[in-house]
Amino acid sequence: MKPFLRKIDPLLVKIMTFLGFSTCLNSCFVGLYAPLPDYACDLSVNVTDETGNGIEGIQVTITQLGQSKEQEFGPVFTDASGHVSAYCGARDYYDFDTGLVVAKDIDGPDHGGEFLPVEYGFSTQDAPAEGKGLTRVHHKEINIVMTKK
Amino acid sequence: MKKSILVLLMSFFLLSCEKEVFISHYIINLSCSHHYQESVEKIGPLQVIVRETYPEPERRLDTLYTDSFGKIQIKYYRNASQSLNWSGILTVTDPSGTYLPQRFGFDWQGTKTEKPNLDTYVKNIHVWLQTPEEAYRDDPSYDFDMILQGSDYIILKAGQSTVDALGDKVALDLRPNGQNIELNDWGGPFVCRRWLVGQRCLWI
Repeated sequence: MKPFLRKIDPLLVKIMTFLGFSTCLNSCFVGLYAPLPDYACDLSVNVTDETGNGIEGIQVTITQLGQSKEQEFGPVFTDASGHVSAYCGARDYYDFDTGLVVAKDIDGPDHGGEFLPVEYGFSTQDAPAEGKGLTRVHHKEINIVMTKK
Repeated sequence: MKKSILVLLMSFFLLSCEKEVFISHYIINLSCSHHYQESVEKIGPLQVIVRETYPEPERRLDTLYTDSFGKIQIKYYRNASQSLNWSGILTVTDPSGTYLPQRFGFDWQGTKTEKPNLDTYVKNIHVWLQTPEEAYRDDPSYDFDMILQGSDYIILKAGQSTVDALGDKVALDLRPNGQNIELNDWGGPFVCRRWLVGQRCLWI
């Protein structure tokens, strides 16, 4: 069953993208096969340097907080414009209403220099939401400025 | 004479304007409770450590204690030029050791102010705490291996039951066709089982 699903993954992503789940273009950490829970979140992370230019190749890891056993998703890497997006559905019945984004420059001086790591705690409660009940998704935009070492 | 007084007054006014600093207020209303299944109870006092993680450098802002109902109001002031562009993590710990510590991230991007306090940002945060045993039971993977029959597939028959790691009988959520695998709206398989209390689904 699983190999078959892996084969149709790209097709599912395309269908979902067409239906408006655009963030799944890059990655779907959790929930591709899961029903949408309350407070699922659609994260859009922009990583720039101090002059406002996007940084490519930054490793981004997202940890779901707000529960006894924290779950880590990723890592994923920023694209040429410094952007990474992720759909974060909660597993089980935990709401994904808070988390931590860790951004690390692991490629050294490539892509504009060496940057200090950043930890960014976030909550989704003030983010605009779409849908109701089990289909409610919060769209959270996070802008991170990284400074050079 | 009048002109010089006017110039003097203007100078004082401009100087006072220059020194004026616009301050934004950030308020976190934190409430904590013990929550498991259907039961909710207020607990406290709990230790709350507030760390500002962004922007660099990371720093510990405060170590505080909630009241006996698990509530505390935390206030910070920032220069308005820094507005919204900071975030952090609250770590809630039970000094008695009964409940597991928990972290809660917060930021201010997207937070709106309301009249008449347009310089005040308010965040209401609720932290649910659990004992180690409750957290163990709620871990989606804690008894996953008990029913995993193969490396990437599951075989279970109608009426079959198993015992979880804590010795409770776990009854399977039976399907009319005798299978416990169902397809959700997105086409993926997941296993839904009914517990003695509550219900959960495991994703495979």
